Amino acid sequence: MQLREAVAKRYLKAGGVSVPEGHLCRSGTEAREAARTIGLPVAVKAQLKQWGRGKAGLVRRCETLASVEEAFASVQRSATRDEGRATEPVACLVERWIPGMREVYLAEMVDPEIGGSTLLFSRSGGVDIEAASALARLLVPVSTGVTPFHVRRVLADYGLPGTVAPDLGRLLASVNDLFTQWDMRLLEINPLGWSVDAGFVALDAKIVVDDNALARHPELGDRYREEAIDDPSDELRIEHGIEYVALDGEVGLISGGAGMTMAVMDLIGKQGGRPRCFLDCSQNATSAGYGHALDTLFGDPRTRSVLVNIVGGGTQVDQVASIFVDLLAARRRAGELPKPFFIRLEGTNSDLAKEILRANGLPWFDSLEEAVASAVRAAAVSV
Amino acid sequence: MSILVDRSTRVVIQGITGRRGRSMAKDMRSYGTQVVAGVSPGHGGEIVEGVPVFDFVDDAVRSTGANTALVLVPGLPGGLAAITETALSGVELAVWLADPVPIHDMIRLMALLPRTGMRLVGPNSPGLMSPGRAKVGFMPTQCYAPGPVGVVSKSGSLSYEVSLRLTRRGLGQSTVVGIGGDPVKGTGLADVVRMFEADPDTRLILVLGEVGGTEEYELARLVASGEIRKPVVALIVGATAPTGKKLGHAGAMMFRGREGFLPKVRALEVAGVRVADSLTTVADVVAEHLGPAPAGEARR
Repeated sequence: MQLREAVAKRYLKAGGVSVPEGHLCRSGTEAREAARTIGLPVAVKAQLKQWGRGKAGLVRRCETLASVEEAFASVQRSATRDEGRATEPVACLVERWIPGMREVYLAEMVDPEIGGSTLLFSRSGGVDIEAASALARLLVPVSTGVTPFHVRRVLADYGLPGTVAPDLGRLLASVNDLFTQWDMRLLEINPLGWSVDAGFVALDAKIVVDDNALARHPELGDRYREEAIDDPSDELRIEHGIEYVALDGEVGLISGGAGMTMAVMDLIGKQGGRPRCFLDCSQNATSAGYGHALDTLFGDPRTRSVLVNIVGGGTQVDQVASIFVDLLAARRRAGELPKPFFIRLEGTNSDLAKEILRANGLPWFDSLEEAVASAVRAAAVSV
Repeated sequence: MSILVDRSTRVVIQGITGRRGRSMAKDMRSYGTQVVAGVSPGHGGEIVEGVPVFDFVDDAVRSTGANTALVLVPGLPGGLAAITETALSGVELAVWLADPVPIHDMIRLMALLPRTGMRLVGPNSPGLMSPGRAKVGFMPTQCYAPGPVGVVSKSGSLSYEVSLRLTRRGLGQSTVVGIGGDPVKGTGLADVVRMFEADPDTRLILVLGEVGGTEEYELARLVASGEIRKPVVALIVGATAPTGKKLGHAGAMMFRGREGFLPKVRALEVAGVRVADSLTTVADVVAEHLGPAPAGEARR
């Protein structure tokens, strides 16, 4: 789960990292008022989670109050959002513009290759983490945390005077404490500003929290829900344990296990179709979980056929068969027009599942390929 | 032989008194696995499915000679403590099924494990299967048959699907290892491939990988350097996955281009790994590269 800049900065501030004075605004008038309070010039920054906001025209520097309102309006035009959210304004963070800062790069991330936390740093701020090869890396051992060595190393790369070492030491310690305490996968301050007068200031902030640890931080989940403009797939994940990512295609997929789900997506592609989504329901392989998954796809106008593929190990697929039989019956009773629906089950208790599906008039597929072919064909003919 | 689990495996199940623990104890015993002990704090002295239950893992190990722990404890709240207890108990191997597990807890555990001598498989593992010898996990038994193909997979259900395709084609498995899809995990792809290389029962190594992460590159290095001499076949899923999105497995979070599909497939092919073009053809590619059975294999 990625926190938006304004939320991320709240955590940084609480953890002892300086951030520019700023206000979250939901209208041009609010933005203008905030700029008046803070003092010009200000930055107007769209609170969207996409990366590369600067290039997309979603961050603007404003020198007059009129241009603040103009920037808020312009951000609304530049923002690309989910269709369902188009009526709400994109909130903007209006922030003091601090002049004369040197901009460097600082991040801490979990590095799977070494199985630990790593500091990433560079004297050039503003670079993209995608260009990670340009960044220096330094392991932060669990046993020691940030040491004076880390501070010296980063300071040398930044090319800042030795007198800054105590400030940088406090900053790195704060970053590592926040990173560990809040179960972050990424804490990126890019750019990190520095000037003689202001010291270090986090000019931008990107925090990705480990979803696997949300149960340890209920306040993060709550705070997150309070923030209005969020991705519906985050809601499915957090509220219902369903991993859902919308894609461009038309074949709706309900699957179990990430690898298996991707394998089915690839087969849909091989057979000339396009998957509408990645949807992994294995964390919530229950009537409620599958029901939410089905509602998501049946309610989505771009989904033209629905394919369920569950290969059960711990999940008993005869139960999956019964669940879907009931879910479909309930929707028929409610008078909903079902989309073309195909279910392929394999694994634990598949012989029982076969009987259940056949008794309820649903076709049985001996192979995944046959089921995929049927779903792709149905998506091509139905409109 | 086979790797990690076989007929000498003596299993202690941590969390045996739950519904899942009971049913897994029963299922694994019916497969022929020696389930010798269970652990559930506060339940010491009970008997579950004919298995004695202890309050502590080390007590279970001392009393029963258990050498392998199957850990059913979830990631939160008690996972870190449970695996620490396992690691200090003297067992050689722990298989951890839990998902989700916080990544920072895995970092903490990986700092501890090398000092204890215990190998951890998982988290987010479906378990380990040496067909005809031992099952430690919840894989669907019907998908497997004994044979010469060593399988290692990041994805549980994909490994069931592929094993079933191998079995239907008459290609049995030495051991099927689900290492789990988490980015920080106890046992990596390369670790398992090295074990298969040293295992006389394994004639071909099948790797089920996916977009995200960089473990496949380590495999490519091992094959290119000649450290792995057995034929290696791979299936990489996620050709249609969009870049920069996280798809389920936390491991599939793609920051860098080389974690994408094509660069991975190319690196493996250049190293000499045969990459199947889809699930549909993977069993054919395995059959093609398996080669004839050496004399004596028929005894199994």
